[in-house]
Amino acid sequence: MLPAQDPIALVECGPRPVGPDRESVTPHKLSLLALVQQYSESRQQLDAPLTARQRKDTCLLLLQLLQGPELDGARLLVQLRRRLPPEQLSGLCRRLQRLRDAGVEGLSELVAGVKQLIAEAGPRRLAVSCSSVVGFFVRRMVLAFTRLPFHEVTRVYAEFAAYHAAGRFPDGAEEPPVPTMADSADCMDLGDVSDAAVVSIGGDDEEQADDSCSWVGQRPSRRQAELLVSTQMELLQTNERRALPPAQLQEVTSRLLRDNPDLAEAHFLSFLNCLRSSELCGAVHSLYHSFDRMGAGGDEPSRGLRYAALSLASLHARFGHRGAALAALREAVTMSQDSNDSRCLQQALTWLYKLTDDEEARQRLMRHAIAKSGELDLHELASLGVQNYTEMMARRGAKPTEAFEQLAISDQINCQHSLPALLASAYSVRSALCSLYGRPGLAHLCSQLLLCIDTSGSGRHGAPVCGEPVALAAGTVARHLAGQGEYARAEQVLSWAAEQFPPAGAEARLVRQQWLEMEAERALLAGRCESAQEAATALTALDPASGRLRRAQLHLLRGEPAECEQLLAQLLAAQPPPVPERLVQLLLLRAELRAASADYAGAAEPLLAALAECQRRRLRGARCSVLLRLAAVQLQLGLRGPAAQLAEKLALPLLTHGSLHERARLYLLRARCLLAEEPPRRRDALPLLEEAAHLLTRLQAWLLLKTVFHLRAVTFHELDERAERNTAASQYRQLMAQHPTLDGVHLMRIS
Amino acid sequence: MATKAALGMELNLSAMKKDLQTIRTLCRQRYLRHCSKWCGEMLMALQDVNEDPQEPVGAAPPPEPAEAAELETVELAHDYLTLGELDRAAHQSRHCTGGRGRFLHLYSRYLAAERRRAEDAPEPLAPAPRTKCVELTELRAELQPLCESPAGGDGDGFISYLYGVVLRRLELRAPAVRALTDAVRRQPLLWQAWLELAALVTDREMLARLQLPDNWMCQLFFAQVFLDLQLNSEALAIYRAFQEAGLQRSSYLSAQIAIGYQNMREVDQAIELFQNLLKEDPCRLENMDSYSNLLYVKGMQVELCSLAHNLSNINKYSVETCCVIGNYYSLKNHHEKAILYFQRALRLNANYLSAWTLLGHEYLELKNTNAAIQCYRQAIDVNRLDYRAWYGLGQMYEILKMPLYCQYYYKQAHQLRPNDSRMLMAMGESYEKLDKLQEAKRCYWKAHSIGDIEGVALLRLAKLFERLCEPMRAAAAYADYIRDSEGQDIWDRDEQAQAYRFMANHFLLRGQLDETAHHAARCTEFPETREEGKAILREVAQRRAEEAAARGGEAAGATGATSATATAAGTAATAGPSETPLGMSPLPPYRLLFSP
Repeated sequence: MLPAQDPIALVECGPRPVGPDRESVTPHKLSLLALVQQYSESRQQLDAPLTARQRKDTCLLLLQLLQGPELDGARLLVQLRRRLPPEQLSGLCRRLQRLRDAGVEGLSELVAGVKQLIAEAGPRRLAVSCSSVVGFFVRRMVLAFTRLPFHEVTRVYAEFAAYHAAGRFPDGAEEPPVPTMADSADCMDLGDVSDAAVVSIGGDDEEQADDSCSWVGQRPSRRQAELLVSTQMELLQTNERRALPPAQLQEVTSRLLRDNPDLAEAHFLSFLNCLRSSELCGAVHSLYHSFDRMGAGGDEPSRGLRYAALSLASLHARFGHRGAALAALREAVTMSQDSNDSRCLQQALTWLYKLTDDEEARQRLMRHAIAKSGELDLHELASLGVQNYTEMMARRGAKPTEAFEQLAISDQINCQHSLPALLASAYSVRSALCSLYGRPGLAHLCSQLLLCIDTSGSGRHGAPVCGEPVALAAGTVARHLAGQGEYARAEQVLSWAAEQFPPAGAEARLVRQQWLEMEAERALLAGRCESAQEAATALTALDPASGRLRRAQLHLLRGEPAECEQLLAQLLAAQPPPVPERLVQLLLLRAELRAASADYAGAAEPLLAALAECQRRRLRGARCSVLLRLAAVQLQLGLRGPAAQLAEKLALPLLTHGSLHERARLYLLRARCLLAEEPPRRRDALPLLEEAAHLLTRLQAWLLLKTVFHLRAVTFHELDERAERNTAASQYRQLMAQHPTLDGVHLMRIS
Repeated sequence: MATKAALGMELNLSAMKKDLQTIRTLCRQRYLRHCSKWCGEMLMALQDVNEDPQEPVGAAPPPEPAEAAELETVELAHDYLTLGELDRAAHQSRHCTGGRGRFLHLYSRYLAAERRRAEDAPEPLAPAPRTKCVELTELRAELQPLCESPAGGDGDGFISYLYGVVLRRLELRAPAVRALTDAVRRQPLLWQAWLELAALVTDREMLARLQLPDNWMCQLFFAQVFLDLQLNSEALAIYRAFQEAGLQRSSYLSAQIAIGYQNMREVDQAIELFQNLLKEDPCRLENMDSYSNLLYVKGMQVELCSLAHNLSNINKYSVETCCVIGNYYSLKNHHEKAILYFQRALRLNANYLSAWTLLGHEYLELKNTNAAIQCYRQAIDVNRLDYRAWYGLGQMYEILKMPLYCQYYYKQAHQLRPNDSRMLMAMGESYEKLDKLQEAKRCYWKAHSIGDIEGVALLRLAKLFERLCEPMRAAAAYADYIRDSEGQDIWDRDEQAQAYRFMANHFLLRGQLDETAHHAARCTEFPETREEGKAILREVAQRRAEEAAARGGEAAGATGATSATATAAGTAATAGPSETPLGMSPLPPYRLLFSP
């Protein structure tokens, strides 16, 4: 399966608003100012200097408090108690107490005091660097305070007094507060502390996840709101699990919007949130509201409008409204052309080739898009275009060398411009190409590489890329393991993958789909009809075509040829036509169906069609399966010689790259060929049957195993070796007892 | 009897008078000025009614002993309140435990909080973060145990009303609805509570779910909600019933009826009602902005000017005055000045809905698309049900050449006013631009069916049929259009000429020479089609001559019969489709859902 990719989301292209950046003075910020003052003064004290460790702790705490949500007094006190040295804390509490007692005058003194920290004072080093995070904060606060008229200052003081009273700050003059956590923090090793103090709003680890939840019910300031929104937007696009869960995020955004109704990005965030919950109405409303609010920022008034149309197109495309998406896209294209905006035009072009039906036109558009994106330095689009083009080439039967050469271009771009998301999807495409061209081992390797690669730290907020490519890679690894009979490990891999994604998302569906496919396959091999039926039904909800294919296989297993044929005919006639791999699968199944009805000549026809398809599309893996089936049919038709020759030819590719099931079937086929010779070479056939039985046991493919055991018993009987015959027969009986069989009809299937 | 049919109850005027007098006293005691003013106005209409000795519905409870003890304190607090010394009033009445004293304390605190908030609020036009309302939150916390305790609390209807208002200010809509419902149940005559509740009702289903006391004021409340929800005829029925029952002189009812007419686009009737109102009460400011909108629509510049003059003499710092002056300047195409006045109105009251929309219209005129979009969005934020703002946004995006994008807005507007043809026309036009001709056709047809306001639906439909190569239907639509336009004589002459030209050509192709000649003759009345009309007439003459020559050898008696048949057939052909024009069945009255 090749990854279906969406063009890169358009958030970063949206214009920035030119809203007011008026900083407000709040009690929390006043406390932080006091903390800054306290810290810088105690750093300059020579009698009891702070240790390096204490300095680091305090700075990290300060940073976290500055960028985090506004806390009320009590919660701030909890944080301070946990992380601040006790003497610092008592100093700070004294300061706050003084501030409260001194009234409005105290506020002016505090501001004047911190102003000194950033003022040039001759050769002495500045206490706070003007361009540091703290420096910016101090400067902004000084400015904001200076701007306040008197009645506002009184209001701020009243708020502070209430905050101080509600927070129950200890009176600094008394005993210093009992340092419960600070002491224990001292004996922690360095790794733990840095772990707890990493500053991020998105939530990078357990500690952070807890911290991010604390945004719920908070009223962030304008700047904090912007930071929060941008972090969440990025996380939604790269690593959804680390973003807030949909319901919480919706609450946070609606609160943000109540406080800052003009924050267009928050509407956009809500749009993305609705999109991930597949909520069409909410998404549409948020999208329109977002772009209405975004307005025409900056020098180019119509820029927002173009992206509005483009985003609308992407929305409709995601919900599968192709016509509406194309109409919106046309609007975006018209407007971009009117205003010569080639960047927007390229984005639109990318969507256009995703939405176009006609293969030829699509190819042309893709080539054009890649060339033009390269010229315009739109590396993401160029790389994505190359990957999509590779995928299309592969589907149309390009030579493997050509396809991989094409993919190397994308790798080159990703590497040059460090695009982690596309790097991951390039691995995914490579893995898909390998399995398409019949090299499952290599595909497995590529997927493992993707799972091992560390993409964290590449984005602004440092979250590793974890999206569709990871889900697909996990699926490939699991399928490979299942093909080797390692079902437990395959399930382990998939359950790991399921944990990586939020339960309702598209990726989680993908993982679930792969798990169900594996289950269905396993149940079919073992002849467990009920499990197969369950898996197929569940699969139908996620991927109708795949579910119906499994159901058709199940009908075959149960001996219901009419139903099977009906389903097959439907699937073959489906619009859009099935992809080449699926087509081959369908034809193989039809051949199997005819062979099961003893219409061997009829079975050859779909096999030949499948073979032609494999050759046209260069599907080497699938070709081996088809040939194997063809050889079996030849044998049934009495063409022993050609069948043996074909089996001989298939030995090398199948034993190198085939799955356990294919290898077992190959052994069985060769054994049958030997038994069909004149005179039968029974002795030579026995080790082959032994080997097939071994492989099938590993694979838990009980259905075929019974055939092998039966064949073995018959062979021993014909050789007149009673003891071995009886052993083989009793093995067969045991198997029958352990895994109750269907009915006799399918027992004698030749492969 | 008509009253009973409309209201489901008989109005007892004397009881009503008694009710109003009681509630007026209660409101006056509690400094609820707007409510007592409204009661006074209603009482004016009931001047001639004799009082009923029976006890009124919302009888004032006998004063409690606590209340009697603190009478002096409460009176002083009331006086402070009257003088605008809000905090002092609150402080004075802080220990009161009686119903009135407690209400005055809480109410003055609420008013003080509101005043401080208004004073501290930054520029309303520039978007800014809303300030926290700590005082309101505190007030809510204090009111909650009074109103929400399981035993029903010991607060009266007035306290519940105040609680509802505070909750509404805090944007807690559902609790606010609960509190206000509680308030009207406890004090069914408190009109302010009904009004606040009406502002919170968003649709008819919600209205049906509310459990309300059944009295005459509830009927007025229903009418108010119907008016807000654009269910104009229902609202008018109720108001008329009240008038018929003996409240003809109520200025409130007249004004509401006028607004109903305005919503139904019965401009002349609405203007007449407003003029009568002004004659009765020349210093009235309320609803004058609606009146000025009507004058604007009719282009009555002189009246608008005198209204603006009058109002600015009365109070130049009222929202209504600013709106009227803004409308006046807008009519005179002085859009910058108009913007200035609308902005002033918004500074006076940032939640004044119609000013946002009107400001948006002005920016639209000035082609300042971004500002216009912001204004309309703001209007929608204030009230989601404002169809004009939705429509305005749609227009903006249509101007910006985004026909698909603007449809969302038109659809929203259409949902709010399903029977307004303008939204349908706009939608049809945008569908036409998107080449979705079938949808466009349905829009135009529906617009025509529900009563076309602009009178171009048929024309558009005809042109669309012409484009779709359906000449018969196009001809039927043109024929209808011509019939309508001939009746009224105010239509666009260019379009008329085009219609005649099409008809002439159409009949010529079908060989109906009499009709061709008729329409071609009309063509010659218009300068742009005169030459073509003449050419067609010449061709008709030529064909007639040929026909006559061909029939030269035939019997003279047969000629008359044939031409009579042909004419009859022709008339049938034209009359047939015009009976059921365009071959489409009339649309059912429910709205078309063009879901995205």
